Amino acid sequence: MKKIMMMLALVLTIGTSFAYTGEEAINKQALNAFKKEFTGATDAAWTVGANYYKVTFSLNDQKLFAYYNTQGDFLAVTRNISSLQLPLNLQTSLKRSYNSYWISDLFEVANNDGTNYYVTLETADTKIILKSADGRDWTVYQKSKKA
Amino acid sequence: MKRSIIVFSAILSVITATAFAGAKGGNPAEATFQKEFNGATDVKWNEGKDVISASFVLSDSRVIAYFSTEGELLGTARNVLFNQLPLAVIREINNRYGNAPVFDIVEYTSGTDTFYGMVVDTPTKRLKLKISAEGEVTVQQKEKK
Repeated sequence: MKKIMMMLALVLTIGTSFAYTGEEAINKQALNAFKKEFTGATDAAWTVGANYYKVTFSLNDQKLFAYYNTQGDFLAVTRNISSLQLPLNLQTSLKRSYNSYWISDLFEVANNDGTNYYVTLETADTKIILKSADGRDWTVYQKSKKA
Repeated sequence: MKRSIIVFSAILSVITATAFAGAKGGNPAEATFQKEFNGATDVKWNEGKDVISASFVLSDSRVIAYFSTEGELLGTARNVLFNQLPLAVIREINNRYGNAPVFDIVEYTSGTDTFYGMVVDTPTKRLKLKISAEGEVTVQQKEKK
């Protein structure tokens, strides 16, 4: 599970190409699990990744992305968020420790173990990705110098 | 930690609203407040029996922060919208209560812990819930309709 989550986080940070597909190509267990958990979801669009399925949908006026493995097991659900949607302690921690950075990406990943937040912070020459598990303090996930 | 949460909960139900008296040595929570909530505006202080509270606006939210009389930050509380809840919490609410209306959502922090209080109105009951950031639900009060 940890390996899948790290892969998922990497996919979300660097992006990848998916093939859009109709529901007939999706594992029935994944389809049923999605419909049961996300009752009320609209505009569902399925895509097939390397060894998982991704469904993009709207729920409660938000755009969400859910992931299932090829056996139909739920992996995670994600959404892009603004910093105002972070728990207050994470907002203040960013302001306190990374005031000179700007936020270029911020998303939330939830699975059966809880919620993780990933934020990409940049300056003119540095890019940092921070991670927070279940609203606890930020840790450095990835750091790089810009070319 | 548990003691802090208990004190914290008691404070939320009864706040002794006295203007900050500016006791000898000034406001012991001021330095901590400036460090934690840099950029806060419209700050109002209250001194209770065992706790000092500050109500302020930060990032467009009105927040209440609670400090010990030694100036230690005990926790915070603010109203949030449903979509501001962590996905783990949203999933749990949707799974348990479907489309039941959810209101009076308050985000509480205590140390590095965050949890949420809210009221859910099902067709037969009104439930007062406490939910952890991981989505663990505790029913604090149940009222039949």
